[in-house]
Amino acid sequence: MKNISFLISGYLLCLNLAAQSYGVVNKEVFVTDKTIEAIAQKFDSIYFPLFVSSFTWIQNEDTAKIREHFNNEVLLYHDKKTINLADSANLHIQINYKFKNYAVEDYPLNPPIVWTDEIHPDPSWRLWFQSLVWLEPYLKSCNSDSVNAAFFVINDWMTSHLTYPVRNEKFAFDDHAIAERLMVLVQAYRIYENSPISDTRFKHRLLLTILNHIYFVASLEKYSCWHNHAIIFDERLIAALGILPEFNMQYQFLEFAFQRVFEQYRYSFSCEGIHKEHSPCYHIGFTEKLNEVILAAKQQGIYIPENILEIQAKANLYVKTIQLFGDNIAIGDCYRSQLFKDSQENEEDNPTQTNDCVIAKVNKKNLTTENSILFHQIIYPATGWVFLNNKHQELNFIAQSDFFGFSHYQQDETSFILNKSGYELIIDPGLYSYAKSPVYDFYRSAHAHNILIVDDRDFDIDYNNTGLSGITRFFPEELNGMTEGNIFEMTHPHYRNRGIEIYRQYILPAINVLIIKDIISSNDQHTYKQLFHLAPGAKVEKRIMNM
Amino acid sequence: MITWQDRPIHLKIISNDEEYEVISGQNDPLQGWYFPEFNKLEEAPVFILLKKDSECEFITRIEVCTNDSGKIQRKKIEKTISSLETSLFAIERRQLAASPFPVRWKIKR
Repeated sequence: MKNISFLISGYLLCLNLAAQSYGVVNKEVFVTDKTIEAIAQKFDSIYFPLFVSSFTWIQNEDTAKIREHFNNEVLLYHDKKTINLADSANLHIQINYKFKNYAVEDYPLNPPIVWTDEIHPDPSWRLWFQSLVWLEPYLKSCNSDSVNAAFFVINDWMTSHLTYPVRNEKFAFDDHAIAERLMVLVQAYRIYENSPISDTRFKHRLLLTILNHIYFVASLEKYSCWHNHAIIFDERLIAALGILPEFNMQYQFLEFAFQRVFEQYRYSFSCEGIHKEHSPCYHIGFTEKLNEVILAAKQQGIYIPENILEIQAKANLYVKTIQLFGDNIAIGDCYRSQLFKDSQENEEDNPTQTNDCVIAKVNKKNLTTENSILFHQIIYPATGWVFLNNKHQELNFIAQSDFFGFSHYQQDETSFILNKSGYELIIDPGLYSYAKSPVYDFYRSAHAHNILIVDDRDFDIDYNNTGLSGITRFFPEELNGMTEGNIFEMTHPHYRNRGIEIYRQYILPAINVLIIKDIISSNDQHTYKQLFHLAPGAKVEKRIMNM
Repeated sequence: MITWQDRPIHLKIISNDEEYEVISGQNDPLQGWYFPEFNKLEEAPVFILLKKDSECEFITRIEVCTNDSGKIQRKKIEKTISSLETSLFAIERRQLAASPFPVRWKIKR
């Protein structure tokens, strides 16, 4: 008996020593690259004034400026059938577009177009409306009337926006609407060149508006550093420049846009290659963009820093982790319906369409063959995510405590979700809308998540607290399988201003048991509430047993 | 006990709470909602356990049960918990450092 006790103690001692040596993982503090900042400031100081001047060029249809900034070919006239765009004003333009995610009704767009329209309260609708991305199907249509109608709308936009700033028209020149629109304009130019439509004034206006947009997007006027929208700015600039060889400074601007976006990517992903904006869906989206940007850089012969390639490799690996836990995970600022729809489509239509999917399936298989492991643990201590599932992958448990900033932030550190056999049991609320409303405040609040609430208060918002949420103790992956279950600890700082410290431990001693232990320090009496948001349809049938 | 009519799973919850409540579809203040689609909200109950204290440990155990799941071996589980806690306790708690949001690039024109 003594021998057995000795063995167990020895085993635990070894375990503890090993765990201690891995337990401390320092979080990174991001240091900005001053050289790239200086380049961005130089571009801004040169090209923002040119953006302002370009409105006069557009009004005057200044061909000298076109010659100055584009190669000679743009002003050569090809032998085209002469269909004048002006004729399209006589067309009865009936663009009925659906508001994906916004409303089910069609929106009939008839001239004159009301660019100040605010038919939906959600600001993301206005951003989308001003971006003109909804014109892409019309531009790419085989039907000449549709293409003509798209040109007409673009022409209307260009002639309606000849000053800056634009008052009473949110997102005309703001956020990434302008970067998205730049891409639409360049696509329109490419399509125009190959279409039978010939309208010299439209073409000149289009080229000058493209110039106007390139200068704006390359400036810092609305550039959101350290935010995913900055990445969209540069990614669209790169894509647009890539199909605009006529632009004389194509390579210089490309080189600049790549440098600037790589710096943004360097911040946007943690040292573990996880996107910092709180949601697996954002990670997947921005990893796809990163892959595209790196591919474009390779095609353009642009230097790619080693650390960006490292981030790419880790980010793609993390995508596979997400896929292992069900393709998409409804945590954070994600449209739940979209996630589950994507997941179903992947499963039903093309289960092994890409190499990545094949690898993910192989990994899944590997997981089930690890007989000694009760839980498979994937832990990201520097970013604050823990993924656990049992060896048959019936039980999925995910907890998180990442907090790097307030972009797409929900008050959810130390929260968790629990699924079994494909059924959601304890859930995250999802995303309702970006329009400010009491519901908006609710779904982002602590009250909407599976956490400990103190005195019925939501979190204190303090910008000095970024980085202070995270995993504080855990068993490193190397020790996974040496213990029967799993345990780890997380914290957040959002009640510290009130003198309350909370450490939450999650203990999984068996495949069907989860223990949540909130260790609370405070000198004063408080009301503590543990919240568990249950999947819809749940019924609480009996009084729970008290411990 | 928490059950769903449409799934063969139920949850047993054991806690050292003092009171509990269930809120579903409450408007003032908002509570007990989830958002299955953009601009759509539906009732989803929130199960709330309450405890009044200063310094304390608030512990809740969730057992995920299915029709075919065997009996939970409580003694074994207690032993495992004890072992896990001892091991975790031996690990030094990480001191998290603040990582301030980087300063945005200033416009110099």
